[in-house]
Amino acid sequence: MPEENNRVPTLPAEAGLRPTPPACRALRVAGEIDLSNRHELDEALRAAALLGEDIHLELGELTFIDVGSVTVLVQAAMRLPPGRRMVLHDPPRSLRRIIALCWGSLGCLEVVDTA
Amino acid sequence: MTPGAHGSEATFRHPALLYRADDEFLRGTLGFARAALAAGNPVLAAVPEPRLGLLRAELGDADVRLIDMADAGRNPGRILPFVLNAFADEHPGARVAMIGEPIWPGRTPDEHAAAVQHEALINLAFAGRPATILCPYDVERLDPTVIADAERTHPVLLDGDGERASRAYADPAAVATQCPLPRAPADADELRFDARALHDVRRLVATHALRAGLAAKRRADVQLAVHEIATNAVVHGGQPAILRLWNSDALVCEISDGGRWSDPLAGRRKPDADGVRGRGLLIANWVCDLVQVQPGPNGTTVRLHVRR
Repeated sequence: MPEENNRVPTLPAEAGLRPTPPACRALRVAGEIDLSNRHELDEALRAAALLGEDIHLELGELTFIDVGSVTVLVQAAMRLPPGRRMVLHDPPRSLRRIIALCWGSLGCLEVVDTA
Repeated sequence: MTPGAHGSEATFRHPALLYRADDEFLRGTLGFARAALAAGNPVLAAVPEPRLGLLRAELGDADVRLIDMADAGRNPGRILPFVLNAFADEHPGARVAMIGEPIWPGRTPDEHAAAVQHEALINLAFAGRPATILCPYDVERLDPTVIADAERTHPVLLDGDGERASRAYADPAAVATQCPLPRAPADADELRFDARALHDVRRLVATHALRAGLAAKRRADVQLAVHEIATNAVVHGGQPAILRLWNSDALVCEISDGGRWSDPLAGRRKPDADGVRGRGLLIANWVCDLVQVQPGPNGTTVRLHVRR
């Protein structure tokens, strides 16, 4: 389920209303994402895109994501205007694999590992 | 033997090379590869060992992409997207020359049936594209029924006597839908599921994968592959969607649904040109050791095999 990072006051619903320092803004996506809750991810990403900055996703606690949901994520990254990108923090191996197989490398997506 | 199986014409050619012993294999494949190189065409050869080694020794430093088909094509469903289409896509505008030997002695009956589907689908996937795919068949060591299948899936046959049209060549769309599946064992674990039960599907797969002794990464892979096919079933297939699991020499996961199989090339082409259903199948083809697709008038069955 997409949910607020504890460092982020207001994502996704009122995200555009309360600006926070860019370095702190991140959307935490944890647990399992599939057909049943994919729309929530989509809505959260659309709200995050309205902030006019790069989108940071914290994915270290994501235990499952399917291809259709990764497609939602990639499409959100592709909708970003030139110069903005989506940064995936600690994504699970399966997510990297799906992106590599289905899209190869994408300029609008960056992967960052903490450890 | 005159494998003049390539040229400047824009049409697709898909000859079978019916060879006896290594010398006929080499004469046919090397003649083909060298003529393509002389014409400036990109060349790929995907064959199993020991013939891969024979080609490597003969071709030396020539610019030919050599691939071990026993590895890259163990699951025949992988060959089109990850070997043949991938190489053709690397060379837009060029006439590509590819040698692909998808069937060799030692293939299981299930693998053989999937490889026949793959050979038929080549004709659909490359229709109208500037390419030649030469498929060697070992007529001395393969069963005559295997050679008969090669004659159904290749419009042109080459052998020691030369080149001829195959009189047995059959409609590739029809051949591609033929996949005889042995019945699932009576004691297979069974789960009926709908869109709300995909979590249960994944959990059951994880349990069986653990029991089958798969390593953690393989468990995650097979869980994803089965989930994708199960998602296709509930989104496109209609009821009833049923998952069956059992262990033989591999963990076998079978997903049946009530839908018609509308796109024979789903999961076998360049992913960004494909729909979401195709992406799920592409992942399954990549992950699994064998993917069997049986389209029928009353539903579709997809069977995934994952070895340790």
